Formats: sequence, C-alpha cells, structure tokens
Amino acid sequence: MTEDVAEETPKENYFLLWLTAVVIFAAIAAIYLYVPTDKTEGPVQRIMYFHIPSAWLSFFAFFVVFLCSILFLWKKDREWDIYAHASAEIGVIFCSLVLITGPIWARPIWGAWWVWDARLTSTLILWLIYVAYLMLRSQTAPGSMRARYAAVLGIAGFLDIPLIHFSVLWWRAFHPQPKVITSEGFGKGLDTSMMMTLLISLAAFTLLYFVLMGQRVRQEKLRDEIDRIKKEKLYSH
Amino acid sequence: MHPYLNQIKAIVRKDLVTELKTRELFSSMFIFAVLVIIIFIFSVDLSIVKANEVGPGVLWVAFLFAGTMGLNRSFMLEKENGCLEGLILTPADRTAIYFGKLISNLIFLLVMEIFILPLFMIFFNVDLIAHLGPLLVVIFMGTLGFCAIGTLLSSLSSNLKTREIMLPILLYPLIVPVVIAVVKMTGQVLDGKSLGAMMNWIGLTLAFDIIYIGVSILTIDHILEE
Amino acid sequence: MTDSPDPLASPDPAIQATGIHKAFGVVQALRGISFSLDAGDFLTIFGPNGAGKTTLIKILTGLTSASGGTAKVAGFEVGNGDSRLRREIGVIAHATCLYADLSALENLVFYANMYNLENPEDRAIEAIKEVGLEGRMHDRIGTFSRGMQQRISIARAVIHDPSILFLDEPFTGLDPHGSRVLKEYLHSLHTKKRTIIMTTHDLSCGMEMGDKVAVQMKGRFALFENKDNLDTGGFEELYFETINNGN
Repeated sequence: MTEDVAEETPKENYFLLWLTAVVIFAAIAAIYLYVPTDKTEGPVQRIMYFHIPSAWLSFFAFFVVFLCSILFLWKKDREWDIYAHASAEIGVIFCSLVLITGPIWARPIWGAWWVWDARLTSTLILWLIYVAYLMLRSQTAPGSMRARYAAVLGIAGFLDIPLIHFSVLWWRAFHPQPKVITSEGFGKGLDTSMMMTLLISLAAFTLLYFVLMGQRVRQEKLRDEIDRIKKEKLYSH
Repeated sequence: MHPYLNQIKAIVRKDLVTELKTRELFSSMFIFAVLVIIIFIFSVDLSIVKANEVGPGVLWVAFLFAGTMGLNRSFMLEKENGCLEGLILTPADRTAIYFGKLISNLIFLLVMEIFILPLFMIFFNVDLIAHLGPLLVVIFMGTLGFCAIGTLLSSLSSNLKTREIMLPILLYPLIVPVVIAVVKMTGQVLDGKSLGAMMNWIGLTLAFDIIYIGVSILTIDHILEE
Repeated sequence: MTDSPDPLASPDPAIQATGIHKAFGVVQALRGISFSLDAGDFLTIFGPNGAGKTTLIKILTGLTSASGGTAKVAGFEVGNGDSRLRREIGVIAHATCLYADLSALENLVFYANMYNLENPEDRAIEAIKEVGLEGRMHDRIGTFSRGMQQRISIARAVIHDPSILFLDEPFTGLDPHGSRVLKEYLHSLHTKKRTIIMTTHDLSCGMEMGDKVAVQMKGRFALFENKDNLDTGGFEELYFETINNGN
C-alpha cells in the first residue's frame, strides 16, 4: 500500500508541472515585456492580467466544487469529496487574489481602495460563502458527515451566485463594462497584444489550477492513509 | 388526512404546543429584536437621517438576527435527548420533517415580526398602516426565503460543536440576495410605491424561495442521515 | 397494506444481511458481516468498543447507509429509504428521543401520529400502561427520572407494534427497576415472536436473554452461534478467547 503511494508520481505530473512553469514564464514575460502600457490607465492596468484570470479561476474552482458535491451526494465516493475540498481551497485563494488586486487597481483609477461596486461586492460575498464552506469542513470530524454537509453547502452556495449577481447589480453598479466579451463579440474591446497577453495569462492560471489540484488531492489521500494506519494501530492494542 | 400532511401537522403542532408551554423562543426572539432596533437607534442620529431610509434596514437586521436565534433554538430542541433520531426512525419522509420544521419556524418568525412592527412604527415614527398590505407580502416572502435556507442549514449546524456560531457564518452570506431585495422593497413600500413597481425584486425573492426550498427537498435526506 | 408481506407469517428470514461493508475512504468500520435471523429470534451482539456494533445497528435500521453488501429487514431492502421498512422496526438506544417539555402522553401521541396510527391517543395511553407509568402520563418528561424516561422511551419504540426490535446498549444508565421492566418487556415480546437484536457489554445478561449470540470484532462477526451450542457457564472464557484471537 505504502509503495503504491510513493510510486504514484507518474510522468504526466512532471509534464504538467513543466508545461505550467513554461506558460507562467511566458505569461510574465508577455505582461511585463511584450504588452504595451495602457494609454489611459498607465502601468497599473497590467494588474488586470492577474485580476481577470484569478476571477476566472476562482469561479471555475467553485463550479468544480458544485459538480463534485453533486457527484458526491450521488455516488457517496470519498474521491469526489477530496476533489470538492481541494477545489474550494484553491478557489478561495484565487478569490482572495481578486479581492487584493481589485483595490490595488481601483485606488489610482477610481480614487478609492474599495468601492461597493457590483462585481467587487459579489466577489466578496462569494469569498465569504466559500470561507464558510472551509470553516464547516475544519469544524467537523473527518468522515461521511463532513463530506455530506460540505456537499450540501457546495451546492447551495453555487446556486446563490446568479441571485447574488442580480441583487448586487440592481443594488449598485460601478464596474467598468467588461471589455473582453462585449456584444460585438469576443475580444473586440481589447487590442490584439492585450488580448494575446490575457489569453496566455488565462492559460497559465488554468494550468496552475490543475497542478495545485493534483498536489492537494494527493496530499489528502496520503492523510487518509495515515489516518487508516493510525486507527489500525490503535485498535490492535 | 393524507399521511404526509398528517406528519407535517404533527411536527408543527408539537412545536407550537412546546412553545405555548415554555414561551422560551418567542420571548427571547422578541426581546432580542427590540434590543437590536434600540441599539441601531443609538448608532444613527434620526434627526439627520430620514427614518424611511435607515428604517427598513434596521427592521430587517432585527428580524434576521432574532430569526437566527430562533432557528438555532428550534433545532436544538430536536437534538436534546436525540429526538431527531427518533423522528428519522419513523416512516415519515425526510422532506415531511423539513416542511414541518420550516412551517413552525415560519410561524414563530412571522408572529415575532408582527409584534415588532408596531414598536418599529412608534420608534421610527413612520406610518405603516397605510402600506400594511404590501408590507406584509414583502415580509412574508422574505421570511419564507430566510426560513427555507435557514431550516436546512440549522438542521446541519445542529450537529456541529460550534452550532451557535456556525449557523450565522453559513447562513448570512447565502441570504445576501434576499436581504438586499427585502430591504429595497420595504423602503419602496414605505415610500408609497406599489408592488407592481418592483417586479424585479419580487421575482428575485420568489426565485430565492423556490431555489432553496428545492435544494432542501433534494438534499435533506443527506443531512438527516447519521 | 396488502402489498407488504406480513413479516410474522412469511417464511423469509426476518433479517438477512450479506457482506455488509461500511467504509469511508480507506477507513473501514464494517468489513463484511453476513448473518440471517428468523422471525422470533433473539440475537445478542457482544464486542469491544470500536467493533462497529452501533454502525451495524444504524445500517440495519436505515439511519446510515452501507457502502457495500445488501441487507433485507422484514423483507425490505435497507438503504433505499423505504418507509415501509421503518414501519416494521423499533429502536431503543441510549437516547430517549423524548421531548423534555412535553408530557409523556403528548410525546407518545406525537410519535403515534408520525407512524400514522389510527386513534393515536388510545394507542399512546395503551403503550404507557404497558410500561406501567399511566399514573404520570400528564407530567412533563423533564420531571421524570432517567429510568422512567427510558421506560417511556420503550413505549415510544414499540408504539407501532414493530415486528423487529433493535436495542443498542439499552441497559446503560438504567436503575435496577428500569432494567427489570425492560427485561420483562423484552421477554414478553420474545414470547410474542418478535425478532430482537440487542448489543450489550453485559455478558451474563446478554447470554441469559438471547437465543443466538454473536461476537463482533473489528467490523466482523468473530462468532455467531445458537446459544444451545454454547456452554453458558464458560462463555466469558470463550468471549475473551475470541477477542484475543481476533487481535
């Protein structure tokens, strides 16, 4: 059993790791060397190449939590619980990055660190929902109960996103209109070099998600294995 | 009567009889709501701010804080002496247990809210009677949404060691849409607008109610399993 | 009720468990338990803490789901939430499942309604009489002693006249009077051909009452025998021998 786990680092993992590293370097190079400085906003605009992919990634991660939660309640397989947990952690990290990079950009552009703008507010509430999800997990003993409760929250939380979006939108709206996807089509609001940089950055973040998922899932499985060995030792005396 | 309805009725009746005997839930929720309103009055200067602007927010914060207390208490009652386990062992469908608890929570909260309204009227010096009809509709829709998700989450949090703390932490971010909607609607109702002028908010609140009753029906089995 | 088999008359076993597993991830609580009981059997399950006795009871009563294997209780598959199964079983565990603020009668009427019994009031009074507490049926449960609460809890568990009764450590916390009432009651149910499964730590009491005996170890039955095939006097020896062999 133990050897199995030790050998469970197949070559694809290294391939994914290297690919991710290369794409991340390419993204950094594109952001700082290739793409021209925005004429109106200045250098601070470059933070958007981190901000938008982080937002995309956290949203994607929460969607994975939602899917894995449904699959868990359906199949009752610990595997899906591990995926949901890992994805929620990654989602919260990148959601935090959104909440940090947003104000850094907003300070020079809007003149305030925090504005109760619709998107910023939605992101904050989303962050709170998934922090609560992680708190629920940390306060429940490992086992089927924790997995089921977390899954229910993972479903309830994700279904809230459209409701939060509209309620906050009607409540207040300041955010710059999305430039990437406009009514004229994909990418019409940005010039080509900016679009290219953003796409490379999106790819880098997405790859990073899978690397992190792989690490976290493996770690959680090892933890299970340790728990099992501990329990076996405990009851054999 | 149909067995399903009979079981829901039995749960609601049991909760009401318990409450009539002890009066614990109502009195604590009511006093708590009054305290929340009073503390808010001290923290905002009503001579500067218009009552119609802060009033709806204060009112709903009081409802939700007191309601959270009620939800916590309501499921605690089922956990004492392992009653919930006895309930799960009966042939009753899990959704019947959910609806029974939902209805009794809804009744407790609505009664508390109706008793708070006259006090609110006096403290904030606003005329509610002229707008009572639409106001009650808004209060009912909002409280239903709050109870729908609140009953689900309190059945979940009642099994945690830190249940009193965890319920609001889990519940409040999720109810943000309904809070924004009811506060906006209450404000507009007090300004004399008709319900027809706020269809987007009504739609949002009803969508919330339906989604979370639906989610509860689909997931309550997994929460009430041991 | 025509479509549900009469569990007292049917020739099928009252309980038929095949390879029941309970695991979450790599942690295993039950590792394959198979046994079968006929209607009217009284099975006592012994075993050290952590053997998974409570888990087994919870799976057979549908409180929790198994991760492998199948079990039929009173002719119904467990684990698919069939409410007809819950109508056939009664469970007595350490928790009384009674509402402290309601009277004994109100509690039992509530449960009678949850079981959709006809004339819930009459049935509740009858059940209270069976445990000999009719004098206090209008008093709040909160004012009852632990032993009396447990007696009302017995009335609660059998209010719908279940054909199979599960008892999980029913004697813990009972005073001598309470355990005597419980023993006599179980005896009368046994003579009425009800199937009974009981877990207990009390070797002598368990041996005296059951007619089949199991010893559960690390999520398995290490022993499953008719009492007649065992030497009752030397059972304690056998129990510890079984447990030590299992380790």
